[in-house]
Amino acid sequence: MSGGNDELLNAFITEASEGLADIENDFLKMEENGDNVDLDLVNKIFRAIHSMKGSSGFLGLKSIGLLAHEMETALNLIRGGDLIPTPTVVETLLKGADALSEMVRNIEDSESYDVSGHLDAIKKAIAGETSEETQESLNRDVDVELPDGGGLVFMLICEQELVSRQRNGQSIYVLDVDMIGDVHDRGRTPLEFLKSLYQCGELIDSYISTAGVGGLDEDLPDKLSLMLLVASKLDREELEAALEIPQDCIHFIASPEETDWTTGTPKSPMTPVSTPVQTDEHAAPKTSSDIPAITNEASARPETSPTSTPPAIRPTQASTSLRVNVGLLDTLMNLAGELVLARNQLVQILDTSDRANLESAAAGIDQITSELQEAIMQTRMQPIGNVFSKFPRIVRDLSKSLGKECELTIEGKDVELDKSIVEAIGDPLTHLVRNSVDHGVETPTVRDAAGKPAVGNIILRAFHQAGKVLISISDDGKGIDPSVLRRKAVDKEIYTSEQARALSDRDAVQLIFHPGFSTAEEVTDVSGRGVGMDVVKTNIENLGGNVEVDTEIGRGTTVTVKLPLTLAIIPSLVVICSGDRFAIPQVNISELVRVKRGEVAARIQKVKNAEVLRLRGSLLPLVRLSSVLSMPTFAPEKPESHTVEPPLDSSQCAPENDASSAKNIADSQAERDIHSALNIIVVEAGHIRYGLIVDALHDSEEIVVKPLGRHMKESECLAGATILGDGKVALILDIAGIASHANLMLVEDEELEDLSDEARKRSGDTQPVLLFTNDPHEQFAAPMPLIARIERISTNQIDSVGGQEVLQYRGGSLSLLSLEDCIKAKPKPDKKQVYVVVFSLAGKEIGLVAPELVDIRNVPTEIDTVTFKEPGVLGSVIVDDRATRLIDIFGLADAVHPDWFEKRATTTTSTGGKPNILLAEDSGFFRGQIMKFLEAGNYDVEGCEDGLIAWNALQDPEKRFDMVITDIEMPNMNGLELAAKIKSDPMFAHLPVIAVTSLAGEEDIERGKRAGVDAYHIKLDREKLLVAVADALKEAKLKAGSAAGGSLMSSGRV
Amino acid sequence: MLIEKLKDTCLVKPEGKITAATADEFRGELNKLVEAGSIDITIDLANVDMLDSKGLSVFVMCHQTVSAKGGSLTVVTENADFRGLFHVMRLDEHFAVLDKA
Repeated sequence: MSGGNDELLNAFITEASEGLADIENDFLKMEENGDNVDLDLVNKIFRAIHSMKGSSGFLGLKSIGLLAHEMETALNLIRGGDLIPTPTVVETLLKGADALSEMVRNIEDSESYDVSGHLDAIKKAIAGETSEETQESLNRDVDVELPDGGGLVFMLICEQELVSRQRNGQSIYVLDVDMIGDVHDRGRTPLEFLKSLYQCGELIDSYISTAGVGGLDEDLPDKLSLMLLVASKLDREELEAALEIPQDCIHFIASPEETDWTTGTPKSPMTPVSTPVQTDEHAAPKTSSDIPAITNEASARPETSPTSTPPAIRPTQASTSLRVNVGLLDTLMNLAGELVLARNQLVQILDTSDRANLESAAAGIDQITSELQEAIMQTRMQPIGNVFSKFPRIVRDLSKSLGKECELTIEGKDVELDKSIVEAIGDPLTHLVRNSVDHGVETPTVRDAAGKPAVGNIILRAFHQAGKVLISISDDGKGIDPSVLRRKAVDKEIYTSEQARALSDRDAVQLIFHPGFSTAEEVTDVSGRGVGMDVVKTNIENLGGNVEVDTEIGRGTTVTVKLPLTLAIIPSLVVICSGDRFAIPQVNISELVRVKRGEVAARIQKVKNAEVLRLRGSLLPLVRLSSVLSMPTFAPEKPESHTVEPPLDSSQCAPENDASSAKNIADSQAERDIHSALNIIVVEAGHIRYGLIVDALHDSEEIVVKPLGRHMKESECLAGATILGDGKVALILDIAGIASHANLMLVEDEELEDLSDEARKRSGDTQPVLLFTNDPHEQFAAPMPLIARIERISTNQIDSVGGQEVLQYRGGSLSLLSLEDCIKAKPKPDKKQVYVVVFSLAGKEIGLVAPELVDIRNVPTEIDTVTFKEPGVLGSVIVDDRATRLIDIFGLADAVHPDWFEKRATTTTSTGGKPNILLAEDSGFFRGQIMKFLEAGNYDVEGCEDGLIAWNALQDPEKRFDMVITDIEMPNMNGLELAAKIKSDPMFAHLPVIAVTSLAGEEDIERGKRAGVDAYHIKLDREKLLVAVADALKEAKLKAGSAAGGSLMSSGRV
Repeated sequence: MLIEKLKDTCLVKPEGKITAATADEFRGELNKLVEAGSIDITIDLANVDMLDSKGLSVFVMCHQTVSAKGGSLTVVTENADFRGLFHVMRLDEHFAVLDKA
């Protein structure tokens, strides 16, 4: 076998071992009880054996499957009262359980285990203790037909098996799946399909139809039909959603007991499926209308015709029963009593129509209802520890099998969640914990090398936050590398390389949730990695939660799952937009902002075409609910809903009913808004935060979530519907959905991308600069990368100390420069307030006084170095038809504070000479600048106009270079190509390569790193570049001494 | 892909993925073998890491072809996922699916 490292197999072993753990005691208890059968107990054993049987079928573990099947048969009979657990019966079952444990322990050899002895013993025990009728049913086989006259599909299925499954609350389906059309063409592998099948039901029988498939000399078939006989607790729609196959592939099968089942046990014992509260009433009627084919045999399905269910229905089913604290029950009883009293009061008041009493009665009912709701919710609350308790074992087993050492810390076991959530969260959490062990934590050797303790830490934490339960799974492993994910996304053709590059790190990490995405280098037998993560995400989102990943390379990964306490009732805020009412879940709301009429123009700004709100110094993207929702599909409903419109400030309501163009509405509204106040709801969903503009706010209300009708299900902006206090329907907004509908991204990412994008788009080299004026008629520019920040100060904060202007600032003083004191410039006008542009140079800060800021621009680097030549000015460039002088901030600072820039001890080469630097830079201006200050730093520099010339210069046997400094964008051969060439040539591989650029974006650095660039620097940052050059040379010298190998370790290393 | 003529069977060892992209090529290779007279074919999936529906259909085609000629198909794989796949689709009732060759 594949080393037991298989996901399904491991899951099976874990699950089976857990199931078998205290089965011995349970059997013994069962024997003790004799014919006084404890149904809970039998069910517990039954479930353990039953799920082993189901899983073993999928894994091809025939021996385990056979034995489990036989034991299940016996247990089912015991459960039905048809077989009494006498000591003989229990003895054989115990032996069977021992055999199962043995096989699970040695799963590799389980197939060679002979189970026939056990099978015979159990059969004999059953035969000895049961009636003939029961045995007959066991031996009777039935045929399964499609309901709509679709013909015979399965033959000779054991009747007892079908019946027992129905008793177990499962429905029987035939799935007629075209593995190519229904699975492959929908982007899923057969394995993924089977895994989802395995998650939602059990396979009874299956076969593949070879009819449409030809021989090898024919074309590949476009249909591969697979028939599956499946038992599942899900209804047809849920099955459709879970398996992602068309609904017409799923056939609900009428029960065979209709015809022949004659043993006298109650008919149709199928208990209703336990589904989350909000779908219950919704799903049932729908299902009935979906299956017209079986209406004449309707009693097969109790949900559709509950009246036909005999009263003797069997109640016990672990997932449908609940352990409730007696104290809590007492509370419920009390509350029910109070409710009765309140009702009596109310009825009396109706006779007298006494207003004052009515109000107090209403208040009483209000209070009781709240308490009742809370108490009922509490009965459904279960500690998350129930799920957590299995993880120590999983972590131990898995880390052992992977040769890793992990320690699991569990916190917050007692945090309680709704029962349905606790039940459903087990699988996704297991997957996440397994991922932490498998992909997060490294092997001890790797950890050792990285200077971490050999034992990896995994912390599982559950806690409350803002009305939600957060479960975080953290490891201190290797983290997730976003650049690897980007590359993977391109390889898998999920994104083009352009798109992938534009992804922020955070978005790139989110790729692990992309269907079919796998981060494991090889998807071999440990398959289904990324697949799992997207299922995890879907499952958690189905529970109304979300999942986020935080990762730091080398430090570890934290996955946070956010879950609602319960699914059914959520507090929400009701808002009005275009006359309709909408509910926004409170958990999404972080604050409410009202922008007054007069402030609209000042606080709402346009960035490109999007509106943003200035909120406490940061910009918040705005979304107009009206423009998001004014979809054509909404238009027909509008006139009607306008009638429920409560009296509002009429100027705020959209008068258009024939909303043909959403944009028109938005535009005209935007215009109107200038003259009216705005109600903005600041909402959050995951990492996204934005402001939602609505017409008016109503009350907050606790709403009961109802699912949307099928025709509106697709709308990503809506999460559901609810019925408000007045009986009218309101739609619930999906905050994350609206964000994605409006194409919102994280703001800081957007800004970053904009800059790098623009820089890339320019064909030539550009340099971002800050444009400002001193005298209003003279424009200056300062390189952006050197600017630390910009302050606005009033001029009376400026002191003059010894002929030097100083700004008292943040408890210290900042040395100020005025342009007219340093270069030929007209003096600045008298102003009360000026800006101070703060530069960070050689670890010190200096401020340049700038009366007016103009803009931030990317300017070309073809700089005129002749016209305005003077110390302190690098040259001039034309921006918007204005001659603009580019400030040499080092020159200025050097003139004022010559002591700031320490004279560096000259670095020498190993031969004792001046280090010789090869510089490749196509811009004459930059080449001149860099050569100048390198030469001043006592280096010999040879300048080349492009990478090719530099490469040829390297080949010159006459010359010897000690390092290479290169620009990135150059004609003929660019800097990356040059770096790659140098690093792959054994002659030159030892040479340090420093790349200089006008703007070092993250992607540029990444690309440079791959090409072999040792360090990255900003062209005009003279000090840093000089330090880096000195460091690199020192390093290279050291390395030359201690033989080659490794890469450059300097402060500027990338 | 490694093809080895053994005494009583022809051992085929495909590599990488047997998916929509490669299935037809794989089918072609197998067809060549059959046309060259090999009717007992063993496919070893040791070096295969992915199998999709199109890929699976090639196994069915191969089985149809060789069994019509009186030969047999044997699939060898240790991968439990693949074995589960063949089992659930009951392909292991059409041809042998073994752990080891």
